[in-house]
Formats: sequence, C-alpha cells, structure tokens
Amino acid sequence: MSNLNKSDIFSSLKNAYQFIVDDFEYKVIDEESSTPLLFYIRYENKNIARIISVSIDLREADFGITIWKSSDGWTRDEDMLEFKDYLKKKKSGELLSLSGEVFDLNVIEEINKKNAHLLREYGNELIVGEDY
Amino acid sequence: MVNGERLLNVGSELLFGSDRPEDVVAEPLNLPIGPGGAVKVVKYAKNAKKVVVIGEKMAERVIPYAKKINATWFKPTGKNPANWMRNQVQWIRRQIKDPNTTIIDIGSKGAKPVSPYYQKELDMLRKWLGY
Repeated sequence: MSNLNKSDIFSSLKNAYQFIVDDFEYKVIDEESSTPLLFYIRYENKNIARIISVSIDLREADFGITIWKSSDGWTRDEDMLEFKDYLKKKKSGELLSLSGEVFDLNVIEEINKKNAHLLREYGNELIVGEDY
Repeated sequence: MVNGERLLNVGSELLFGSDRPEDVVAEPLNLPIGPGGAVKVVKYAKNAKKVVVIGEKMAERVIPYAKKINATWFKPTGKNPANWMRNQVQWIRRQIKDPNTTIIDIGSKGAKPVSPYYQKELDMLRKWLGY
C-alpha cells in the first residue's frame, strides 16, 4: 500500500458521501484523516437529531456506515445502528469491504461509491430521521 | 460538568509498578460518560502529561470520545500490514510504562471485544497492570 496517498483516500470518502450534505442538509461536525490507515467523517442534522459517520479502517478492512439518534451531539452505543446490520435485516444487499490486503485507490473508490449508493438507496428513511 | 458526567474512582489495585507510587494515586477523575456508559481509568498518572483512550471501533467510538476529553489515541501509520500488530503492542507498552500517561478504556462495542488490536491491548494491560 506504499503508493496510497491518505489525502486521496479521504477525498474518495468525502466525495462519495457528499450527497448527505448536499441533499439532506447535514453538516460535517468532525473528520479524521491524520493517519494513512484510518479515516472518518461525522455528519449531523440537528433538525432531526441524527448523526451519521462514514469511515475507512484499513487495518480492520472495514468500511463503516453508522447512524445514531442524538439530540445533543453526543453518541451512545444504545442509539447506534450499523448500516450493514440494517441492510442484512432488510435483505437489501451488503456493504462492500476489502478482501485481504488489496490496497488500491481504485478499489477503495469503487467500494466507497457502491456503499454510498446503498446508503442512498436503502437508507433514505434513516437519513431523514425516521425511527429504527 | 455537562449532563451525564460522572465521578469515577481509580482502582487502587491498578498501580503502575511499585517503584513509582508517587505517579499513581487513587483519586477521583471527572470524565464524561463514554459511548457505552461509564469509562474505566486503567492507569492514572497524577501529573499526567498525556491521556490516551483505548477501546473498540476507533472511528465511531474511541476517537470521538478522545477528542471530547482532549485526549489522544493510537494513530497507526505503518504501511506494512506485517507490522501492524507489533506497532500496536509497542504503543500500548509505551503508554503503560510512561509514568506521565493516564490510560482510559471505553470498552468494546458488544459484550466481548472483536477487534484483534483491542484484544491485544487488553492482553498487555492484563499482563503489565493486572487489568
């Protein structure tokens, strides 16, 4: 993974999920891109008391999408919903992840795009604040 | 103190070595509640120059909590996967041995840890601090 640039990976994540800001009036409240292996962006829509986090953890080969009900900006495990579990329950597909140690920007971009598509397609109710 | 904060007691049995008792005292710390409830002070340094947070799910739980309390966390930088676990072990070992570092554990997401990296940290804390 020596050719992977952390700013490229973070841009890929940010671009894929920009629709959360553009179409659903969320704001970025936190982001992390200080290391080459771990990235996340946290979005909040205060009007509907919801926080969404999208992340890449290359060490754990995990591309995460997590949603919380939160009226105070803080997130608790009891309010935490992992989108992959939601998809499984709804039988609506599966989030993609890395297989093994294949570290390629094109692969990462593709995963981000497909996972973002799944969130937009099947997670609309969660994004707009409906109960889960 | 914001809503939900608690006073936490440091376990007096979690002393960092017997040679530097002045660095570790059983005093209460004011810490906000963590994502999974009360957090654990694994090692308390009286004059801490650094507070580190460990736990499971770095992006969703550990880093946001660390930022909230102005602490730090393990920042993996090695690009060779063969070194990732070794780097993790070396990092937690340094935190354990540093008399000026306080270690906070926010725990696992579920009942049991799933992450091999967090599990390894717990193993090291058990070995060195009896945690």
